[in-house]
Amino acid sequence: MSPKVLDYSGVAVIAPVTVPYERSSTRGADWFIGSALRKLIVEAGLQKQAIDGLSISSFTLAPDSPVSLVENLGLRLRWLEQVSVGGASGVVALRKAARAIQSGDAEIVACIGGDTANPQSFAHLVSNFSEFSNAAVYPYGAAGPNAPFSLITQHYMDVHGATRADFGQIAVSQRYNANYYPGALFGNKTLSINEYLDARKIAGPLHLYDCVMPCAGADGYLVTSVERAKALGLPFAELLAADERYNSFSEDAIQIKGGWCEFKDDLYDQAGIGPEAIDCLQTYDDYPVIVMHQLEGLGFCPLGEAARWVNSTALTFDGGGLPHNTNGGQLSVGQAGCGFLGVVETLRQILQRSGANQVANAKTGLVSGYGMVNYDRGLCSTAAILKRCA
Amino acid sequence: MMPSLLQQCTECQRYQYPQRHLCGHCLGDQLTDLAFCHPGILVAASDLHHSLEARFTQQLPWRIGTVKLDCGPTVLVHIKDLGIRSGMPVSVKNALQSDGSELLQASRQP
Ligand SMILES: [Zn+2]
Repeated sequence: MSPKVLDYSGVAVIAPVTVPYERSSTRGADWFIGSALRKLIVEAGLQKQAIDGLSISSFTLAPDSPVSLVENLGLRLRWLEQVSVGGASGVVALRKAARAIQSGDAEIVACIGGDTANPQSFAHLVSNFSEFSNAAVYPYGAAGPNAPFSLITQHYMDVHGATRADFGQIAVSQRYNANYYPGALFGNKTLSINEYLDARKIAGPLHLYDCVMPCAGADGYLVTSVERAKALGLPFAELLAADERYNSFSEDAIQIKGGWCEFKDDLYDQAGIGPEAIDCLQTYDDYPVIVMHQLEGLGFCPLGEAARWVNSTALTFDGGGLPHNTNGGQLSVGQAGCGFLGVVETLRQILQRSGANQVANAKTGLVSGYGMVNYDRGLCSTAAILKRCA
Repeated sequence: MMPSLLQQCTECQRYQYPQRHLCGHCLGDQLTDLAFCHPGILVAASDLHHSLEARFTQQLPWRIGTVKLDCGPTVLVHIKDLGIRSGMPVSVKNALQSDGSELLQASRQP
């Protein structure tokens, strides 16, 4: 029997903020991250020097590092972390910051994921992502992540009988949600299932609306103690459970499920609730097939059933089913900041801070992350369950 | 460009790909490089319709695939023979491209 994992009691998560996403920017990642920090302290009513811990995730901060940001932004810290697990970073940062609060290593940790974007930065990132990718993926058509994900998607269709229209349910419902979220880059455009199906071909079964658009932006939140959150007079969320896995199911010839399957039961055990108690779900949607892996791996439907499940469950924020990627997700908002979007959207929803896309009576949210395709599959799977306190 | 090679560990005899400096199983550093000439099964294939590089743009659509080698590793390959389907046995070999580079290619097993 593995040792009992400590719970996250005493930890409060507050102040979800977003620095609006932009398709392209001449500003550096430091501007986006620093601007998120400014929003965080305004939102929480804190002096900057009250922040004594910082967790940073970014693909585009180099050659600077998190410690250079500490100087650059005039901070004095006693706890600093860089979380570099791609789209899993938002949840992993939350988990690590919660432990820092519990141990007393920090009192208020600012967790920020931020990126800049321009055509050169994306080409550079793709052509120089990892040693495996440089040697064994990029030379095969120079298609970036679309290449491995086209194979993962095709394999899922071959094995489980999913169709493009099934993936379309995810993209179309997310676009509907984005139409009610002003921060979404595609929020002013509607998307019908026919437009989804007729879109330009990209790679194998992947067409235009299956792919995210890399962009600039930042998201952040603060992690502190329940006592401190109460003293600040702010609504806060508790972290009921969280977990992470790396390189799960490496024996599968091609990715057909993710690490969520390995920790799902423990996650709900720790939270003391099951998937039926989740009021809103944010998954990492770099491609719709990975959403299906998460729906299955997190127990919303059995393995291999997600394609049918998305046809029988409303995924819109106001559809009465399971509100999913309630601000449009990365497919409609844009991709920046290493998976912080889902954490911040969860916090906005359960703290009742959303606007027109507010899920009625949302109190408990689940957010999952996925990241880092070095070769042929994503290596990181993570999830957290958050609940509004009182 | 470096040719793509399969590695075999002299300690535990396992094969691995892509190349790395240590055996992913026993962490030994005595690895033998082998040119590809290995049988496997095509697990999935897809046609690329978009590329970030001009040298591929003229050749689109360009088919890639995932091959599970009988000896263990999973390999991303180029597929020229459009008659090859998922589930078929294939052979993976190094193939010289017109620009002098080398890629792994899957072809039907004889
Ligand atoms: Zn070995």
